[in-house]
Amino acid sequence: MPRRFVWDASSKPAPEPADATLPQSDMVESGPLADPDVQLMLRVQACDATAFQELFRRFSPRILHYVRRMVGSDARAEELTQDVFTQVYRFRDRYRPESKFATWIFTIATNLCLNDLRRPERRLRVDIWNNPSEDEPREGPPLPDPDARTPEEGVASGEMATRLQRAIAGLPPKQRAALTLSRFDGLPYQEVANALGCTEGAVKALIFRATQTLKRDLREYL
Amino acid sequence: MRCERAQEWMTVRLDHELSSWRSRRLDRHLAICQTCAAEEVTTERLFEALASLPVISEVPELLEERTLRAIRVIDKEQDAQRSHRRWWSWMELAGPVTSAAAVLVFAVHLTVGEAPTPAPEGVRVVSPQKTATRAGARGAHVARRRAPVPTLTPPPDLAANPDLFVNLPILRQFEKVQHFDSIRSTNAQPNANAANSNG
Repeated sequence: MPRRFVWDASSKPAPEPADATLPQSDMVESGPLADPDVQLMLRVQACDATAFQELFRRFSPRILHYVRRMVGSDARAEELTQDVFTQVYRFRDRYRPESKFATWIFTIATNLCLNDLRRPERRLRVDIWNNPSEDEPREGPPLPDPDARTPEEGVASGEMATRLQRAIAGLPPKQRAALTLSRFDGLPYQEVANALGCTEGAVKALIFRATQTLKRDLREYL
Repeated sequence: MRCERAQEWMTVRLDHELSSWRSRRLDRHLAICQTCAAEEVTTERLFEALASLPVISEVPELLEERTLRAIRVIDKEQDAQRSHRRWWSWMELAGPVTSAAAVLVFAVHLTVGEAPTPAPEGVRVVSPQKTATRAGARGAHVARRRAPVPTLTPPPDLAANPDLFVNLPILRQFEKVQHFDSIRSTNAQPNANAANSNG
């Protein structure tokens, strides 16, 4: 059975105790306001600095990874991640708790990444996934698969992971964004469509095309 | 069902986004199409490989510090903007208030100006009936206030009865002018005589 990544609540830090400043109504018990991320964001809207720090700690690993995957440069990914969070803070009044906070922040991240990828000087950068010096890549050598039955299988799995990373980096930006948001960040198609500013049908087509490209590139491993 | 459609749907199904009736249609297609069945196995393996990739990156401490510093700068900027906006909101209020005050002063001025001024003693005011009937009393008053300065020559009907207007300021001025003319003519005659004698 294929395993789809779903953002596991157990991997998140423990939710904050209910804030006395938040409205204690039935809406808090059920609905979007029950989402701890939304509650944190509402506290950020009320200029709570600790809530912002908590939000940063919760989302920055995912955002940084997503941005790295999108722009392919560690330094640029860090700059853009900082930009994402500064925009979240700057435009905190625009957030409405009707939508999930994750969708909102990934929309900001996607827009910043796509804008960055459109910039002409981007062509001069060297991407981490296409780094020609494979002796010591930035993320370290690919580790063997712990679930592999034989060492050979583990090495092959590690190689495949590297090839897969490279193949994902070679996808067109929108396909890459759609695939990453859906498969890695666990957003449903509708939210991916919101983040990319397109229809759900377009998201299906983008993911299908990305999947076909990856299958073609990794035919020997699959 | 076309194979391309089936392959698109199998991707959607692996993302748990395919409706149940489409899923059944896909199963029926896969049962008869070996190519698509093999393709489904490949897609599943690809998705397993994707699931094995890391989904988070370690965030450097420096990034958090930098971001929080940037947030503090934004806070200061927004505070400054808010205070500036507060000042401007007062200024925005000052405009309408000034306009309203100006309108009020003008209205008061008009009201006071329209009050009937008592005529000076010994002056007989002739009511401009025609003007009053056309534009009303107010119009007449405004017309009278804006009337051009009369000429020194009185109109014929007034000249016929000078006793009625003897106390009017304009006629007093007229008398002064006549007096001045008489003095000037008196003074001018000796000079003319002198000029004649010299010539």
